[in-house]
Amino acid sequence: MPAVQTVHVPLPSLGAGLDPPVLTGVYEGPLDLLLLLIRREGVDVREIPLALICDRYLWWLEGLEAGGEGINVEVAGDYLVLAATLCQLKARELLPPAARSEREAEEADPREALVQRLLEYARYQEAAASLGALEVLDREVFARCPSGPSGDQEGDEPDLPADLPVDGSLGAMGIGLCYAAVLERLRARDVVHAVEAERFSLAATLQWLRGRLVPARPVPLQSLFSQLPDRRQRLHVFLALLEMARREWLDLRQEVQAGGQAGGQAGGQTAPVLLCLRRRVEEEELMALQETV
Amino acid sequence: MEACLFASPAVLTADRLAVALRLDLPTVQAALPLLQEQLERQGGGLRLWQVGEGWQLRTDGRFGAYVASIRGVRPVRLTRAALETLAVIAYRQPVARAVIDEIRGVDCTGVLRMLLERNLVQTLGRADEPGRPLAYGTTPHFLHSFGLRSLSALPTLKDLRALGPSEEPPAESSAESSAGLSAAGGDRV
Repeated sequence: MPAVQTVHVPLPSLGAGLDPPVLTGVYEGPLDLLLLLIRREGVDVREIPLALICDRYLWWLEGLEAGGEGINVEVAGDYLVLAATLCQLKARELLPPAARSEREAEEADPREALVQRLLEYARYQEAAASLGALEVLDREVFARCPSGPSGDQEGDEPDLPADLPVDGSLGAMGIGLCYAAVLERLRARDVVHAVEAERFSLAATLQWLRGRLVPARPVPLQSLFSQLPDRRQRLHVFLALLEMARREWLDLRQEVQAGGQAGGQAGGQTAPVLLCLRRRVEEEELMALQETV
Repeated sequence: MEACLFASPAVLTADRLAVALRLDLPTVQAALPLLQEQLERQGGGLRLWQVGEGWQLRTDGRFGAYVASIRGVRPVRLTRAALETLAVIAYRQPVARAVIDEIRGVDCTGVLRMLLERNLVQTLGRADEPGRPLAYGTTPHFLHSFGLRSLSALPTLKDLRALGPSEEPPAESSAESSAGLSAAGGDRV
């Protein structure tokens, strides 16, 4: 476990105009800091002197604020939640048991819950330390070929991770690593991709539609589409029409056949959709719309 | 057998060794620990490790720094955050990210992604919990990397009843902290 550097912080005395402490230290989160404080004070985790630990904790947080080159709100938030929990525990203990509501009395002891969390975390910290103390491949010990995805540069093809199983029990990550190696190989060959330029734009399509639609002269949608061989172009026209309809420049009409629905599902044939421009669309309006799409 | 192990680019199973050596499996299985012992006794630069489902020759840990400089690689680094996250996953697998976050008290997304990229951790499908979150577990590469035979070879997770002695040197000004303690003594429950 890497050394954690801390600067001892004296408790603030009442009325003393002390600056908040500036601490240097790497903590892995609020639980880590709390554990460290408890260990440093040499107190039993089950008998945490709440006021002391809470004070130190808050004092440390102030240091974070004063010394920080800007606080990462998300990180500080985690610390603040625990600070609030500590204050809550303290407040709870100040109340005589009789003053606690029934609901509170029924709840599990929040202090015990915190203690359990701390002990649980301490267990894994210890486990992490013993994992870190093992002789790790490519750190203390080395095998014949580099393992891991980095590979060596001897061959002209990037290596696949050395210890991928050959029996098909390749996991999702193994496949991912293989794929990464393949991509690496492709990149090495300097492949040139041809990217087709976008030929249509909604703005140009709107302009095109404006030239074809005249107020009070309905045009069947089908006849517009039949002029457009390209599917993407039709899609743009369709989107442009929807946008115009939304702005109430355009009515979309479908004739209702006698006795049937507009959709014409019953008759087997769909009634044509007619596009009716309500009024002339001014150039400025169109330009304003083109800017938004 | 030693020659085969030396020439192999990856961890060798006893099965494959037996095929290569044209020997039956029990003979090979019996000989491997003998070779391991022999190398240990000789105290040379190589050791035979049983990792995952197979065996591999590795340089002795004492010479790590020299070998690393020959290799021209920076040694693998695992931060405390990475080790803690890995420990939680190793002992609790399959485990959802929310559980890891809860135990460590911090968001583990970044560390988890790094462990996934390093192929130490993998997803093991979805947990049978509300929201069906992804469940994480360790990979075979994790065993290889840490030189473990199987997950049961992990150091035992201690059942802590109290916190052990601080790994830190005692506070610089013990007088002050004990003064603080007695001042706050009334708070003890």
